[in-house]
Amino acid sequence: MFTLLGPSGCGKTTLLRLIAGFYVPDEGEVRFDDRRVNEVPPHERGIGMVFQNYALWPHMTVFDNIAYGLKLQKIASATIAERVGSVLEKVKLGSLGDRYPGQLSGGQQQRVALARALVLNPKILLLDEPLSNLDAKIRISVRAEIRKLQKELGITTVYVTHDQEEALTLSDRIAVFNQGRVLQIGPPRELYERPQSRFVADFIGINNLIDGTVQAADPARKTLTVTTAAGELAALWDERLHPGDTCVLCVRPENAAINAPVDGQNRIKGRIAFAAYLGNSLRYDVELEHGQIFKADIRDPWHHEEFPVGTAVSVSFPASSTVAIAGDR
Amino acid sequence: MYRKFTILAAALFLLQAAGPGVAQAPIEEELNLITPVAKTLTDPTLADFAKYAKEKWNITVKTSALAAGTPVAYGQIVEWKGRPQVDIFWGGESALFDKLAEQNLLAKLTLPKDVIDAVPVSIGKPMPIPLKDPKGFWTGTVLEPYGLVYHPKVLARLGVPEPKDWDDLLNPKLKGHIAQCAPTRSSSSHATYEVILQRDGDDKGWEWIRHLGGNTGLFTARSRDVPSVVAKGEFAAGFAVPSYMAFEDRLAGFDIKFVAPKTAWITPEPIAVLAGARHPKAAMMFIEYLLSERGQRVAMERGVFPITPKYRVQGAPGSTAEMAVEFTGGMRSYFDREVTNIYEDDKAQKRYAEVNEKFRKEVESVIEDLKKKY
Amino acid sequence: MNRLRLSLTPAAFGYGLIWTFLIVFVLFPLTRIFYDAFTNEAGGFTLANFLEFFTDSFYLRSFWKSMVLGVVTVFTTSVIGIAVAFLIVRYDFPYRNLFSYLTMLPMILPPLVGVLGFVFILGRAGTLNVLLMDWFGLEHPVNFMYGMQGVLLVETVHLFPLMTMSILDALAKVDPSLEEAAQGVGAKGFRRFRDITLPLTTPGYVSGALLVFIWTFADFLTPLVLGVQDLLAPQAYLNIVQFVDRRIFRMGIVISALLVILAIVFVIAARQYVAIKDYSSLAYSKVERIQLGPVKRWLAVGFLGLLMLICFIPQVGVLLASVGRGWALTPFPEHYTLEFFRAVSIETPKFIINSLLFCGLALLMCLVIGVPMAWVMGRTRAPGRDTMDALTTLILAIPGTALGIAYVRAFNFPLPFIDIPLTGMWIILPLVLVVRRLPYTVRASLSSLQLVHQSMEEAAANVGATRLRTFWDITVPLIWKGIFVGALFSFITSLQEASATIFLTLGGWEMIPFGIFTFYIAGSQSQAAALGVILIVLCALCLYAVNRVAGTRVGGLFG
Repeated sequence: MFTLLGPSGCGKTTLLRLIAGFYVPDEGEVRFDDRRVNEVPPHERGIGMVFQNYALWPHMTVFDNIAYGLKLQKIASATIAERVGSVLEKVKLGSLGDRYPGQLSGGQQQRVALARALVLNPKILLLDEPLSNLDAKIRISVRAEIRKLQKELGITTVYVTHDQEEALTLSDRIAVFNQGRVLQIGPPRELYERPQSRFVADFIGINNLIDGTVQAADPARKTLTVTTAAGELAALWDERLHPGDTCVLCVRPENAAINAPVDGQNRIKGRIAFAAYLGNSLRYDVELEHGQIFKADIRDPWHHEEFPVGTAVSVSFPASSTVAIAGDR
Repeated sequence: MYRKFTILAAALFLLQAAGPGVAQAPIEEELNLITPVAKTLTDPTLADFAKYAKEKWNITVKTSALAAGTPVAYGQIVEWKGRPQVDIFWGGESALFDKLAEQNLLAKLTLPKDVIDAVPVSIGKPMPIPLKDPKGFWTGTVLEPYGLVYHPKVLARLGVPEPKDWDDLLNPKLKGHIAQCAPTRSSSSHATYEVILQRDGDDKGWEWIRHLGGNTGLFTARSRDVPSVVAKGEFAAGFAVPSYMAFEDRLAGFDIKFVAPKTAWITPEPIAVLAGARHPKAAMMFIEYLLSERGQRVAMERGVFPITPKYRVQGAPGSTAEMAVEFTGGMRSYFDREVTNIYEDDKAQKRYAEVNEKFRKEVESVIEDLKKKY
Repeated sequence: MNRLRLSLTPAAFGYGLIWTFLIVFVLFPLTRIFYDAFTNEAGGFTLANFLEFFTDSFYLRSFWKSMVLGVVTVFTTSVIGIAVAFLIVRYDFPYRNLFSYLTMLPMILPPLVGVLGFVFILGRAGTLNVLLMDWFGLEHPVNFMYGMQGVLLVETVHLFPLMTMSILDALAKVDPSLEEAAQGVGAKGFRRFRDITLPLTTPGYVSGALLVFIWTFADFLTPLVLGVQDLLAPQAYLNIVQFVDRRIFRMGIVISALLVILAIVFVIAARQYVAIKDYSSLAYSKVERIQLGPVKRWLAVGFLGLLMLICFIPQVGVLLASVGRGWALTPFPEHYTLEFFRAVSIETPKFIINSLLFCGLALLMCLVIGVPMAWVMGRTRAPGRDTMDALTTLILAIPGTALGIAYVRAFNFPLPFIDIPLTGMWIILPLVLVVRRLPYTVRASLSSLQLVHQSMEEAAANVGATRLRTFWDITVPLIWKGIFVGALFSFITSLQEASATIFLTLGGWEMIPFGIFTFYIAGSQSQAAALGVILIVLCALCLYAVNRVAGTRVGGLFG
């Protein structure tokens, strides 16, 4: 499963529609395997698509919605019934064939849309923000189902979303988009741990970005030394960075600790500016001495006495979770 | 889309052209009129003609009459430029028929000699009214006067005696209670204005017309509306109304009365076959029928008079013919009496537009002032 | 990147056919009257005709009186139309549904019938005056009808439903949260209505007002019956129907051209005005109705009841006249008969047959041309799409009189092969009806198309449906209500059409309105009334069907 991830308006849906054939590219090529499909109409591309709003035809029953594509292929009605029945089973809607879309819940409609896309045995499945219209709770269960189904069928799937968590949990690979450009493609873990640009880092949820200049590179110890407004910090080595380069250091809040007694880590001084209780964690906004806000999580708030605002603290984080990105990216 | 219609139209045309034995039949199976004559006169004559054709030749003639005021009909015929969509022009002023003949838009009549000879050349003194065209392009069909109508009940309520002559309409008590149609819109009105102008001379005549304007409560769009609004009691009296139009309202059960002043213009309701007509034989037969006793009798039932001294309006007691006689003051034929006519058609035709223009300027445009003045 | 592109396919061919239709039957005839208006008898270019118009005091007076009448009618219809629309959309009171249907009915007042009906009741010898004279000894009847006041009355009663429907449609699209936001900052009652709600309905209101204005502006029959001839439309008509004086005839064409020019100017102005602000919120929102208190509730019923009483004067008058024999100077007819109905239906069934035939044909053509037009406008980027959109609005604004005259002038040449001019073939009547009424079908189809998300169609394309198949299987079933309402509206208004067809009707082709007209000018008002009653009943049935399908939300038709 391949995911297109990006903020709204970044061009990911446009790309999806180019793949689907609803848009014709002004330049460039769309290829399926080695076949150029620019001029191939949507229905000849072997694509199943699930729309953001499901686009279920309200005047047809669930069965008819799913069967429509088969009917167009002039398939015998017994075969149609069989195929629709089996796909309905797959999406666990076995008994709802004669309902109308308006009588279904959002999650059920979603599954009908999926079934409609799958019944034609497409080579590629396109999912356009399929979960955005669902409640947070259902979303998680449907998400799991989609992933399971996709793995079961082994079908190439392109998934569009603006939700990084969704992307990370579902995807084999993710492409991060901004302003019509792909910034980085990679498996979720690589994206998460090794963002290659400030935008990707930010979008994927790294909240602490510190500008600096490379002071020294030490390939042997796999570390970089970077001078920043917060002092000299160590980061993971990157072969593309050389002394004198500007760079951005990325530190995830969950990798930072407050007043930790551990040595050999980066350590910055600051004051507590704000604390937000999130249930499974407590997030501090620490105002560093040069004015930047640094976010740091306490992972077990049960056993933590909250610092009052204004308390002087030190923030520490290991060099192994400090990623340096070239400053111009 | 467009092409489809053309094909459709072509098909329709073929269908028409393929009618059985069109060329050999004594008359065509269709007849269309354009006419200012109200349908109350045209419908019964056309219906009876269809019956007549069925009886005589066993041919079913589909008839229709396109209603159009005299000027409209005239203009339409000119517009058609010799490719008319109807066969016959019936009614209006003979002068217009002469104009059409000059433009080669009429076909010469080919009526049997005895039929056309039965129509006298003219009627009336000192100015004779021609009843047929010496060149043979048109002939009169019936005689009818343009007179006054009034509603006796409304007059009684206003305390106004029943009018006998044109001048009775200038009664100050009738102010706002008179309906008329502008001469620009109605040939009967135009002709009657000419009667007044030729009776009184230009200065006095125009003063009279302005005075009538001041008394007028409604200028109708068409002459036929004048008896309608009087019949309904909306207005007390109406100016320049053809007798048969008023009679129709009487037949419809309204309490309306008609009077033709001595100087009232009489029209022969001319008829002619249009040049290039698609059904020339049926057209000619219709005119012959109209001049026959049968045709004249049908017309007489509707409040007009025979065009020839051969017949008189006569019917069983209580018949509509007798009602018509009573309605028009006991007259049965215009050939029974001296007919006074002071209207000179040549003069009227020469200044046709001039009179209309003057009416527009001196009456229509300043009507509010006239209402205050008189 | 493109949205659906029209390539050289049957679709493009069809699109070409639609344009051919529009060019041949809309643009070509209109250019013909402009040609007439800007040339002299010899065929040379001249502005003399217009110069003559604007220097003639009578024509100038007609011009200003027409403008004033239009503006005042817009005002009166606005007051009534807005009040009714708000009552119906926002409040709950007894008989609300009944009223919402009844308030649409005055619109189906065939030309002539409305004014005749009014005259029967409110004329100088109408029921009211007769009662006043009989009971109160009134000497001279009160002149309710003859004059501008009568024209205003007839137009107001006839046209306020247009306004109501336009506003209803706009109101239904106003997001209630916008009003709630206003309430949140303290705008209440009338203040909120004036500052927030009313401005939000502007697009609907402007299109309604435009239509009312142009309708009033172009109506010639009502003023003529009431003896008001110094207005533009009656002048155009009167000048043209007298063919004798070529100069006056040409002035009639000049006035028609002027009517068209003014209509174009008004349409452009209105579009500009509305386009300044973006009101686009297409979805209809569910409006909670407010239950009125006991006093207010009956006040609302009283107001609407009284309004309906006035509105149904013409229908009552026409009905009485159609069954009364020799009815004059009595409050009600004294002799009753069905002979007039027999005369106009059984004896001469052609009026009804022709009407149903021609209007049915027109309806079919409206569907065949109008629905694809809506689709092109709503779903493609075909070149000329915007022009087509503007053209449909324009057609709505072109006075029927002008169109009729344009047809007479433009199609009076013998066609190749068949040697008959188009004006000599009955098909011209359905054709002119299609052109006149096409916008209703297009607008209604388009506005329901815009409510259907494009993904519905893409989903079908995705599973293998061709463009045409998608349209038929998905789009049409989803928008059929809108199409149905629009088409039926086209049908109803075609049934009532007289202004354009009067000039084109030849013997044997008479439809009901033309029958009413000829009976009226032949003095047979009772027959005219009987035909009028038949027409009203036909249209009321259609309107009932519209009401059942779409409620009162049919305003989108008039954009």
